[in-house]
Amino acid sequence: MNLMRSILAAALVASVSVAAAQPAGVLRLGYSTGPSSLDPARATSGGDRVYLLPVYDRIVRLTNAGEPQPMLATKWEFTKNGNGLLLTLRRGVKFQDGTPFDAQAVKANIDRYRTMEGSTQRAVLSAVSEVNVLDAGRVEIVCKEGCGGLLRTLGDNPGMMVSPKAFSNPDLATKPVGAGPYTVSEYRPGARVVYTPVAGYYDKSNQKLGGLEVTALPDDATRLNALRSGQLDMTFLRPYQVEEAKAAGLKLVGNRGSIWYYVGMNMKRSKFGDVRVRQALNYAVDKKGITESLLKGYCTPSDQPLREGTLGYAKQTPKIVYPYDPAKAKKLLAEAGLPNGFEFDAQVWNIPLFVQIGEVVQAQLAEVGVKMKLQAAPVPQVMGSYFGKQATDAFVGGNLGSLDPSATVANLYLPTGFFNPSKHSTPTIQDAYAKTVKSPEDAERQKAFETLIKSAMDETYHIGLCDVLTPVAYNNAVQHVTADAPTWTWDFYGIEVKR
Amino acid sequence: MGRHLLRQLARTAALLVGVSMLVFSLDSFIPGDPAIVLAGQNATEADIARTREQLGLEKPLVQRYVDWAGRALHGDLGRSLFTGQPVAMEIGARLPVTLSLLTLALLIALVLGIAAGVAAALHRNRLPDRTIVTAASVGVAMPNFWVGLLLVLGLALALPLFPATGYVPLTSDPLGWLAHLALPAVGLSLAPAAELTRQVRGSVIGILQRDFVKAATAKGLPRRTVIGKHVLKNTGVTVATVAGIQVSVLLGGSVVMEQVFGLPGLGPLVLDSVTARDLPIVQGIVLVSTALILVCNLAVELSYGYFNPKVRT
Repeated sequence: MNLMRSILAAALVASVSVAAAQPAGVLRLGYSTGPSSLDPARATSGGDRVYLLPVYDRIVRLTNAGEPQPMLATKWEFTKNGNGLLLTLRRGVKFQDGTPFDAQAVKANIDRYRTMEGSTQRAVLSAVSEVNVLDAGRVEIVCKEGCGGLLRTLGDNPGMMVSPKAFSNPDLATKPVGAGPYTVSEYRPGARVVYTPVAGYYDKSNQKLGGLEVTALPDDATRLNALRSGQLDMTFLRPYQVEEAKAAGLKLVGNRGSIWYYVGMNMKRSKFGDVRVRQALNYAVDKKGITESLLKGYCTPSDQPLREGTLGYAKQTPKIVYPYDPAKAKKLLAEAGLPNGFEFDAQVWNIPLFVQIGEVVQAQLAEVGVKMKLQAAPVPQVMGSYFGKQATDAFVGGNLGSLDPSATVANLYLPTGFFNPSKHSTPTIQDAYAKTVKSPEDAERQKAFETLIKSAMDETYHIGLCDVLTPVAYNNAVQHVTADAPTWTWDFYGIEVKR
Repeated sequence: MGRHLLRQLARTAALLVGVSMLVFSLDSFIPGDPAIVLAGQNATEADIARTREQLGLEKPLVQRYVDWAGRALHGDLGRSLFTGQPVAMEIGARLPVTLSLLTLALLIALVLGIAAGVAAALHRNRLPDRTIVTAASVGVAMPNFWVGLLLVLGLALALPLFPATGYVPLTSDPLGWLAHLALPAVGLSLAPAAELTRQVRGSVIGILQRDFVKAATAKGLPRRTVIGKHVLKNTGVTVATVAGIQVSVLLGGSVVMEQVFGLPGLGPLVLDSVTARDLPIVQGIVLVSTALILVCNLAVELSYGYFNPKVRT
């Protein structure tokens, strides 16, 4: 009897300890594309972050609201009257190949990002003039005209630290070597990247998964089918799929990113040189109606390019500066000498959702007598034609913001901005921009952003549509998913999988 | 025979060169600029111009083609503009998936098509024939992506018998390989099977009226022998011809089917590359696909010699 009791007790203890030691689950994520490169210096798309973040820890980690938090730097302060950024680095961290992480490694990385031929990060680091190693644990970055925008930038690709020993590895694009919580154990081009946890990683709350499998499934329906049939744990959806996902019993969250949908008007083309015409078109479009009908509420109507609640969003300027008012649109057109409207051509990304948005905008403009000739084309073609060659009057699409709002507005509103095809700008915008970069203090920067955004809204560069909430669906095994992510996608911080 | 083979090989090589030149020249007519994509989302105009120069996109088209062809002759298809990986590696990683899908779909199409075609011919103008002919018409008319979606809904989601997406290599798990490919292969095979059915039916009906079949039957040979030995062998030329044509149909259809079933084959790669204007990859895939179809055509031509010895001379 005693023996029996002992056996039962032993079995009970064993089962409890097995339950306690249940290994962390692997997260199987469905994504739309494979990575362009796993070397952050060569990665061309914001969509690569989902593949890069597990491997590469950044200098700082950005919170939900875009606030910098310690990651590889534990402390930072602005020096040289805002022209220097002094970073104190985390001690005892090693890259995945065993190379120690120190100030030399930071200098090597930032110099590589800003000078290497073919680096896609040169533009965002153009403000940096030199990187000085003070000692093994401290490094100072010097900027030409203020380091204000630099800190958040170091939460993105330019802050991703690659082992300097691996810089010359010919296979860095497929076998990344970072200082992050996971390492790539399998890379199948265009199909799947598998990550396994790194032993001895310093921050356990950033390493709660037993592993990660990111599968590239370009077709929207296929991604949802894979989630429904249990082959995936999590994926993002298009708004029209939300009902199907809900009906299938999946959990849903609207992932706040930094994408803003808008219609661009080249002020050097068609009748767009006249601000009254640009404003008339704004009044003619029912932004609220579009977000509710086409985007099922997964987009908040906004004329402002920066997301509400983050640095740079102008609180003193209305979110919708130009509400739906076709009568006012007609009046403005008449004032501009176009009582019978006019005709212009526009290109739209050949992605079904954008084509639909374009068609609705087209119909609404027709109501006030304006004829928009809409042509759908692949994304690179549209970007090349509208932004590159400035060969199209208008554009229907989106803007994927940079992690630092200064970079986002520079691209949209400065004469040097790629996403500003007419190169139109005003002294107010340029002065305010200089202040957003110059000042290291967020409060000071915010003041400058208020001025800048107000002026940009008065200039009416775009027909703003909405701030995107990407619907993310996941099954019951995935826990602690939050609605916010500073980047377009999430960095898996704190996410667990329990099967 | 040797000379015939040599002539065919020379024609194949000439076609490959012609196709590659055509694709190269088509690219220069399509608007869009890979440098904009490659320079990244935060690039300035100077960055884009520098990228264009690095890629050699400023060079004249003819020079770019000659450079590429020279390297291709040495087995170097260049590197992807976007991942920087060798094109041969990018294609090599995906080719087994597409080849597996094509082979399986072709096998299913052959078995279904020959069986249904012979059955219809033997029951000419009766119920089985009419049913098969109607089904074949429907089969030809149905778009394969739609069939694929129906199969996913029915046999992967409602009745979870097969996985909805994904691929497992044959070498690591043969049963898993078959399970993952079963639905897309069936979906892909229906249209070619329907086409084969119609052609085989017509061919068998014609052969059944030929004198040698009548003579064999009159000799008292069992019906099974007449059909199996005389009729089927004579439909061989039809089957080989139709199957050869259907390989290109299957290859085209596989692009869609791989999307629907999330198979990491050449389909998604070609779509991505065309959209992003990743010319080296597009070139590579066109070259490999053309080679595949030309090899199939060659095999079909050579098979005529087996099915019809008169062709050998």
